[in-house]
Amino acid sequence: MSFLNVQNVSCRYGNRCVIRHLSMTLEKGEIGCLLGRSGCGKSTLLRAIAGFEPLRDGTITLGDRLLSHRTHLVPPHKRQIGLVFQDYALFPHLTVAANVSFGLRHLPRNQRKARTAEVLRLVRMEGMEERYPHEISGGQQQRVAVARALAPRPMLLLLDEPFSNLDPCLRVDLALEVREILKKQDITALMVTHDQGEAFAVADRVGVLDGGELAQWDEPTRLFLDPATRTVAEFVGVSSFLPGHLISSKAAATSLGVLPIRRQSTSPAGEGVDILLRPPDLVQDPAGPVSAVVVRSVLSAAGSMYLVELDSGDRLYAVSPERFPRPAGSRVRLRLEPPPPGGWPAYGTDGHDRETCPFDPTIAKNKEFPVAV
Amino acid sequence: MSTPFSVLQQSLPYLLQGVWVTLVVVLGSLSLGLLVGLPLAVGQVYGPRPLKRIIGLYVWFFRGIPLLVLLFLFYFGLFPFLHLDFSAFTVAIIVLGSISSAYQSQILRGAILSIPEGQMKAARAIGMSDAQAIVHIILPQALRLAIPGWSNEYSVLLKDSAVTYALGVAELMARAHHVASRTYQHLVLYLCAGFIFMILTFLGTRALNALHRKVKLKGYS
Repeated sequence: MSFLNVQNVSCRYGNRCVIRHLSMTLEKGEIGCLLGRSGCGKSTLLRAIAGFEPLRDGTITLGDRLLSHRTHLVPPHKRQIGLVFQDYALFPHLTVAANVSFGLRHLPRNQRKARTAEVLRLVRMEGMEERYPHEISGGQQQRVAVARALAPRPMLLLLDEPFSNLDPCLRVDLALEVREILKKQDITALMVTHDQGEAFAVADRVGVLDGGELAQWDEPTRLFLDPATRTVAEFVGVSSFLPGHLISSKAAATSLGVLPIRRQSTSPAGEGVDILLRPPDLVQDPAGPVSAVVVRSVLSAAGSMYLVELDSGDRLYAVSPERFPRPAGSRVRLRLEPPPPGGWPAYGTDGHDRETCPFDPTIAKNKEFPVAV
Repeated sequence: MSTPFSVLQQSLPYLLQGVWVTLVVVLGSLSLGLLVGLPLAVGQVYGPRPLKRIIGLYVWFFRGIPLLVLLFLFYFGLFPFLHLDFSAFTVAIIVLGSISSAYQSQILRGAILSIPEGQMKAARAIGMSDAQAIVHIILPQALRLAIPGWSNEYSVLLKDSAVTYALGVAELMARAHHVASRTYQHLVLYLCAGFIFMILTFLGTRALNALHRKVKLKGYS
């Protein structure tokens, strides 16, 4: 039995099903992260675990305690679950110290003071005790919010897009720091975000929520290297899909030749598949066998990245070791790196929900260049 | 023959005694209104549906009937009917306070609703019950936000208090009328009463503005 057990949970708003039969577990001391687009149900799940959302179906248990059930709902303040919000939600009429010590009102005064000082030191906010929330920066406010949530020693910490309001350079730094704090204190935590950089920086286990269902719940590297569905592949890292058709259950013919593939379902030969290629899989190489035209190029910290068009008309991402990107319209030669063990991940073309639009700003926003895993 | 000026000079101390009565009526009904209006506001935001309905009816009743009608209804009708022998002064405070409670409940309700949802959730998550969160987190913020609306309520009540003269409460307006009808110096006396009301409005709203600036929550627009 795991520490946090979300078993077959469904939630509804009116007639709309926001979460469908979702199951996930978290071990003691583990940090989990749920990724997903806005409206995928990730915040609803967090609210359900915190006790602000009744369940239509399923159970939530923490430790050996049943927290939520269709007919049984432990109120939020009796769950021993800490919450950290996107907008920090510090109490504006109270000082930093008072914000933190409010959750310790059951303790005698001196213990209260000691614990407040301890958690403030933990988040490196000592010396700021008498400030008011409006007098400190966003990053500092979120540190205080983390301290406030940790002060009563919760069994589980929930973080709802905790770093989204911070500027991007601060985000991953603070995310890594929070991970260290949580690990040091052996806190079990579950975070939701739409930012995969945060997710990969913080989590031991990452899930992708899509339309109220958990598409995959896995270690970060597995999620990246072996996405269970096309949506997961699109959501994690930068992805391009090379169309082809099956010639056996383990190979597909494409414009880059016959490629070994792996997929969960068995489909008849001849059926179309999309093969997932990450930008580093296709490398610019003057001696490479593939010829392509640069459609657009992006300069990134690790080198250039291209969107290229093959002679077949397929558009793919490729990386280049050259420091300065070639202009659009240039002809380049490329080489395909050897496939990962087991073959390239491939997905059926039949059920695919969304077409990836290259350089679509809404997608690009979620994907950082370059992808570091 | 008395000049307007000499009448004013002679009657000023008498009028100023009325200022005290006016202020007691206003502050009394303002406090009563807050005392009753606060639980009404909390009930209307967090209470169960039947309670919300009852509060809605209460607010509708006191906001829907003219002040003068309510004063007569309570003073000549309801209280004698219940064999309650209240002075005009007491009835004035009860009626004005009840009306004010209806208005203040709506001011406070708006203030409570304007506090971000996360505040309640954050309070619950660190172990506070609903009631504790309302008392320690929501209301301290809501009361601060309500001060501008409250200052408006003060100036309305101040002016409404003049109507209680109809019950014979010896407040400022009643005294001005009393002197004017005996000396026929209507112009100067009502001007003077009006001027004093203006000053009281000015001082009161200034004081509340200063209070607002002092306790205002920074970081709220």
